[in-house]
Amino acid sequence: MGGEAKDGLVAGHVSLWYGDSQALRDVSLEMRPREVTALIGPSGCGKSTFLRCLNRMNDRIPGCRVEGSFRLGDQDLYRDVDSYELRRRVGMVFQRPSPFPLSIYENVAYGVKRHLRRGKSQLDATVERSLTEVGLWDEVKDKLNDAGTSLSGGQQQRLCIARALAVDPEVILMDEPTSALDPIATSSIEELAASISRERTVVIVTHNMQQAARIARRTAFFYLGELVEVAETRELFATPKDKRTEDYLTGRFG
Amino acid sequence: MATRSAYTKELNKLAGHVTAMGQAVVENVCATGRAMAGAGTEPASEVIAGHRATSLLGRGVEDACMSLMLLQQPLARDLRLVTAAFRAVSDLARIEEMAYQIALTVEEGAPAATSVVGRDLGELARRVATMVARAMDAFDSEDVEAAEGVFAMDDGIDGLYDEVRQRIVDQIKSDGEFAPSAPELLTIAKYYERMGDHAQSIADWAIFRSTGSYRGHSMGDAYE
Repeated sequence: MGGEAKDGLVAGHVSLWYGDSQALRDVSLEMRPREVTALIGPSGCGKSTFLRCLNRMNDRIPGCRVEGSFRLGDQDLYRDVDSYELRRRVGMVFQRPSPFPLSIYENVAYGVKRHLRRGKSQLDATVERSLTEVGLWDEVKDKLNDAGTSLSGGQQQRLCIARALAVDPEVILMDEPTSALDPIATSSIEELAASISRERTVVIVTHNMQQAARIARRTAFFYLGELVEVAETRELFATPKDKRTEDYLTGRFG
Repeated sequence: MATRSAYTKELNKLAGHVTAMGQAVVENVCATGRAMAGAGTEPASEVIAGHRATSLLGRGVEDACMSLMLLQQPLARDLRLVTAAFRAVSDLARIEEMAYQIALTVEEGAPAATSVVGRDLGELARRVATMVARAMDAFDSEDVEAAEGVFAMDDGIDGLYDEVRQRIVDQIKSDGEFAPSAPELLTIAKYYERMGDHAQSIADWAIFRSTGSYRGHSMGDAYE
């Protein structure tokens, strides 16, 4: 049941189509446990599509077809795990903070009630632990019944991360989690992503290459639905092997 | 404001300025060599006259590197160029400073041209100038093989430096009149030997610019 990630997330030969349009082409990528892996690439390259595959968010898109495998430990995420259980084990943080129209407390408790069915005292402890983990507890402990939407943008994003952490996932997916935030809130979320990765696998989509450089151990470059190159971030940013990566990093595309 | 097209121009300008500084430094070293070999103080005067301009060029390169880092956060080959230029220009500045010091010594009347080592010091200068020029060619063309060739040249410079030093020591022993000019001549010889080390360092940065791998052959900072 959740806790520290022992196994990475491994995508094998993944291809994806929206109707007749192929969005991912034979992508194989290992996202190692207790590390941040960054996915970068131009808009429309498939990086967010790939991220959404990791917790089956594409399942409900009409005409979407996925081939290949996604493994978490010895389990295939598409065959051995139902989507309900999968989303407890693989949490998602979106581009724009998306607190539920509920109180701060209920935002964090929501998933715990649905997935783990804990008693009130356990629930209280989980809410406090999760809010503490994202550095929000001291700021909100006296107003837990206020609406989640009453918080600032950065606080709302941390609340959403607390909500994801509350069900003790092994993997946290982040889809441009700071693109709507100011530099201070961005810095806070980056610290948080690095901190979360000490126990969990973190995969982050970002357009901010400096952000990838700051927090990701490894970075993968996507282009036209293809995984062009993956390497240690330092290596990828200093000496990319593929000309397409080089051209993207140096702004010479097009 | 620094747009992407302006960024590309800035990078090209930076590379051009490093090349220009390299050429100026090579010319200065050659000029000191001519002075050593008996061409009088005129070559030394040229080095002294150009010292401020070359220093300003070096500062300009450093400022351009800082500016690019700050405003554009370069990556990949651009990052390697800016990093390598920042370090190579420091080596060029040190070589230029030593050439300037040699030129000042010549103007103050160091009797190199009339001494037993005048011709050898001229030869040392010629070899160092060739070494710096080749290191800079390798830097400009990102040619790893050419850069590797620079390291082999340093053995010849070290060997000639040892010969010159021994000749000066022998001359001090045999000719008491020679002794007062010996310290300057030893210093000049040592300057050329150190210039060779800086040329190797430039070759190291040429390799870094091309490959992203810094091996630090020179200046006693080898990683391997």
